[in-house]
Amino acid sequence: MGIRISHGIEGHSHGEQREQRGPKAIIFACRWCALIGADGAGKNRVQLPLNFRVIPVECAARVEPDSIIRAFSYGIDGVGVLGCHLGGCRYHNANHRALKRLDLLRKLLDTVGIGSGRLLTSFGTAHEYHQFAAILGGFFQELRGLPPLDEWARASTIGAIKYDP
Amino acid sequence: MDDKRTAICVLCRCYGEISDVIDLDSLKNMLTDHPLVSSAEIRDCLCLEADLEGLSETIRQSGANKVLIAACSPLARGDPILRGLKQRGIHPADLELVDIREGCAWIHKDNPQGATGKAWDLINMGLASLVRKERSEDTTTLVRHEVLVLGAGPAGLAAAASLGQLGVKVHLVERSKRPGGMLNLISRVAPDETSPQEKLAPYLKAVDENTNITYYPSTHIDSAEGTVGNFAVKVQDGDGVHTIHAGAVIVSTGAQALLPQGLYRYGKLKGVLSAIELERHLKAGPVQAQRIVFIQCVAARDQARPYCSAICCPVSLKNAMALRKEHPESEVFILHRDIICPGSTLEHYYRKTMAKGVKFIRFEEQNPPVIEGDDHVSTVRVYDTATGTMRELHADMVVLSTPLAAHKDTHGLARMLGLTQDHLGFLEVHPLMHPVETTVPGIFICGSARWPVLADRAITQGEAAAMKAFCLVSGQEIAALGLSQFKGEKFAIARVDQEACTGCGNCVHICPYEACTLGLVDGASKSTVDPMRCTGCGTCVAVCPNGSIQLPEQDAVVIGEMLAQSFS
Repeated sequence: MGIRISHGIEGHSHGEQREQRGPKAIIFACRWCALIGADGAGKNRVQLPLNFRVIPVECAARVEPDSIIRAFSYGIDGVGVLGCHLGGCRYHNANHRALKRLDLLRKLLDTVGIGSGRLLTSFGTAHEYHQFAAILGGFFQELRGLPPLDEWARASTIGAIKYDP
Repeated sequence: MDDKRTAICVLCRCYGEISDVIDLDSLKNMLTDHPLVSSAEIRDCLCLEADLEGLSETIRQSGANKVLIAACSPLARGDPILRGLKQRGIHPADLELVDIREGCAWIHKDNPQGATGKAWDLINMGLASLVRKERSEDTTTLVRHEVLVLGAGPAGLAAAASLGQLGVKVHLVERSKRPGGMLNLISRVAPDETSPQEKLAPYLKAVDENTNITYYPSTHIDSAEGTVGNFAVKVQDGDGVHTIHAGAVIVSTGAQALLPQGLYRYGKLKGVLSAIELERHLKAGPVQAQRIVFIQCVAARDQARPYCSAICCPVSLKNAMALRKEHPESEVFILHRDIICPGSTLEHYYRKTMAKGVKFIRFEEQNPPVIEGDDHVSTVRVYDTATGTMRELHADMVVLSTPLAAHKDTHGLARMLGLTQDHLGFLEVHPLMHPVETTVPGIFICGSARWPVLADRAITQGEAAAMKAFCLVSGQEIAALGLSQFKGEKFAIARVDQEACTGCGNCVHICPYEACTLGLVDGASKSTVDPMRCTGCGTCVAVCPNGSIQLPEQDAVVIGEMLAQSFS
């Protein structure tokens, strides 16, 4: 299962009407914490912004920077990584390591011009449904202030990573 | 493409909870044309036994090898649905649950059209994951019905005695000549004031008489290898190096008493002792002192050691009472920052000490007592916070109560066994309600190696660790996926693509469980994962520079495909 670098992103057609729908976000939710918050938001019928998709992960530390960058290269405006509170990780101190790594990525995002504001990292703050809703609401508020990433990212992303199927 | 049309999609109406918002019929029509889907159907309520039975029958008849279920969240009824299908013989890797109720219908009630679009994306993400994901291979290991206990203090002795009684073969390794650990250094055991010999007698007897227990005095550990079920620990004694094989390891190596070097003129002025020296004097015979002052929290609960050692208060109460008993006319003061004696027994003990005439004075951290005297201690001056006055206490002996600190050799042991230490050097247990288990399966900690405890508590912990070890070694074999420290099975076990691995060692450094190791494979450095230690957290996946270590359940391709489908 090797990986291959390809130029351009084949096979991803993004509709032009996207801009009207507002920003899009991917939330990587640790299944011990933020996923419970997301689930709780559903149980409590909290109305949330439409354009977010949750990808459950076993631990926030599993989210590789590649995936986050790939999400941006697909024109997704914001990526959130929500994990357990520091010291409360189910996997020992894995989320400390995730925090450090994502802080580094934040610097990288600033350097390349995507901007660290598009990456939301939060630990231990989304376990309750109202916390999840508030974090998501705040993130969308922030993303609405930023220009859409679609065209810009697709034009400027050179060599998006594509994995061998 | 026909070979890929293997998935059957089942959409759940949830009696209108989902179908009132999401247009399931149009989703079904779109799914029928989907390149990966062989058939799609809508059901009323999958969590009902009848629907589940009908569904599994449909799956069997359709010959589909992948099943996608779009229903409620796994935390609601999703997990029972998956469990029910697994029980009916469907492999977990062929099942995918997409949450379109909590994750879509209920949170986008006011936008049915948007919700339907989102549900379509979510189903596509689920399909992308479903066609790709695998289940980690499970491995099993045979379990040795033997336990290695490191350290023959009260905790280790209690653990060994319990296991011996249960018929488990125990190897009890002690570094010094005598068993008993720190109890060998003290006069009486707080708070019941039995002698250490009395306290240890039943356990020593068990170790002597039980043929299951082998005792190795004056023995050091050299190295440790292996994993849960089969550890191989090399030990060294006077005769040479032996290897002890054990299914589980109990670490009860204890702590060491800190000496108050450089504090309160310790070592420079006669009559200033540490608590452990007083114990030695009390053990030897009556102590000749009339006016004794104890100072608590010396080198503890400060910036360097911001912890309460939890044993010094009961120990000082015990020694103060012993001194009063020897010389009823003597004056004993305990200068403290707070007397910490939790639980009904210790609180009662505190009150008993006060009733016996021991006097307590509280001081503050920023205003510690001052010891005066030219060649021998004469006076202790202390600011009493209760009265707001400076007190001058005549003293011919000052006892400094220092905390227990992590043993200086803990680091080497932790490195050898793959254990972790907290910032104070004590060995760490697995967080979240695992009081004796460590992050390494099959290794348990008890006694002061983990945290300073009184003898009684050490014994309790030793017995607890023994029971945990017994649960492990009493079986015939252990399955790697079942070694989850949470309910159910592990999410995954990391898998290394040996061809792609460059042997950089990132995963070795970052794994919180020391499951990855580098080794030579055909002359090249490669990482391998110990399936027993791996917990499937995926931390290694995120640091692998070329994606050669992956979780089969959710590899980078799955995440990539999910991202690609997320807003289609």
